[in-house]
Amino acid sequence: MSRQTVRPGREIFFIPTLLGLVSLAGLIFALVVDGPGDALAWLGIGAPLAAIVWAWFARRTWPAERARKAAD
Amino acid sequence: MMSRKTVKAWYLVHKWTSLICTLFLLLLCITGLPLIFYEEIETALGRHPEAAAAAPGTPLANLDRIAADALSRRPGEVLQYVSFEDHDPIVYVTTGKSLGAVDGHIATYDAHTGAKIDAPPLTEGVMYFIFRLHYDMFAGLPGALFLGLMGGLFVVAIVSGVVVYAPFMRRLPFGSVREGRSTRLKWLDLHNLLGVTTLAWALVVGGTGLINTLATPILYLWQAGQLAEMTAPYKGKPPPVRLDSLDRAVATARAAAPGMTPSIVAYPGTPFSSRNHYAVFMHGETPLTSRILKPALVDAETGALTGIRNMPWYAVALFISQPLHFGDYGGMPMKILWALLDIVTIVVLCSGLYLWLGRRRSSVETRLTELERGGLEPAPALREAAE
Repeated sequence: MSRQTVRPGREIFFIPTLLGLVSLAGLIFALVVDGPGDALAWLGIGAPLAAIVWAWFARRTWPAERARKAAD
Repeated sequence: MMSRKTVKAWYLVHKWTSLICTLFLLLLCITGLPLIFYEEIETALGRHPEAAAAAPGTPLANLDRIAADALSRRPGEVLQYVSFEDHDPIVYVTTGKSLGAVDGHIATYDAHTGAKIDAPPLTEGVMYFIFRLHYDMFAGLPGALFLGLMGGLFVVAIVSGVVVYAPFMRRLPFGSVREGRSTRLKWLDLHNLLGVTTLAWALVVGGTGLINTLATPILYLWQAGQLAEMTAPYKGKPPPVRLDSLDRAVATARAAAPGMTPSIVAYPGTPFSSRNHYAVFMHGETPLTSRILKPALVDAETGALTGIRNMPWYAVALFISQPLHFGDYGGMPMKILWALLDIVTIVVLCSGLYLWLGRRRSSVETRLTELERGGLEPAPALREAAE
């Protein structure tokens, strides 16, 4: 986690935009198809939930960890 | 990069639109959660009507007989609507004290046998109570429009939230959750993460909810527009003395719309038809077309088809908004996803409220500094972090 580099807007919004588009695609896809195609729509609509779970396990940080990194 | 003044303006928009709508949004999210499973809960409670088992191809009972039976059980009332359950062979007959009465009585019938089914009233029970809280807080059209306004503020709160997400995340990778520094920082990070990931879903459900509250104005618009246009030749004509067969009117509409199924029939003189017509609303079969109604107007005296048309764009917008708001068009997994996303939204609302309560007494400038520094406290803490 670097405090020095300032990220440009397109980088800040890259993943949120991707998640938004995938969600919308899922929402619309389920409207136009019926049956097995629904499973694809579930993946799209569920993507934000997957991202939250991923962030919780992969992006959670503690001060102690930061201190250890700083010492290295 | 936005100037501090711009960030401040967006921050204030986010703060005030959120503050005004949060309590109502919490009501909507909490009541909305069981409503996702309306049908399943009603079935589990034994309130969903059950038709007798029938072999495929069993002919349908005569609708005139069903309507006459319903009317004979409600002396002094008039027939208003006959509607059809989507997936079950169930017919509902609505009667009321007048053609325009909104508190009509609904009787349930087996579509094959034509026998009356003793089902609990649709307008009673815990699910109906929750639905009314969600739809109009028991306050009718003004209640619905008020909740629509709250939905509009929610949409503005989401958009302004996205704008202030940018300065906050300038130095943080996506998904950062900083634990162990302060409870506030952790919830600030979670508020951002949960809010930005579920952004599209929340905008869709919020926006379509807003459109759903406009159902009544949209009906008025359709009456004054397309309905008036289609029935223009009948202007000034007296209402029919004797009504032709309802069953034949439905058959005529079916013939005029191959591959479509009747959804609801409005009797002449009700708000959904003219004085001289049965309005038979037909729907298609896919998740999308099953929501889009197509009215066939059948002369109630002669039984002849007057016309069948696609509804105007504003009505179609309303029809498409319904599944997108309810999440009932992609099976049980979609309903479960809808419930989980609803719960995430509840957490976003509660964390937003918590963040505001915890910082009420600090100045806007302090809060802007907090925002621009990615949630870190001013100077001393920032120095410590940089070391």
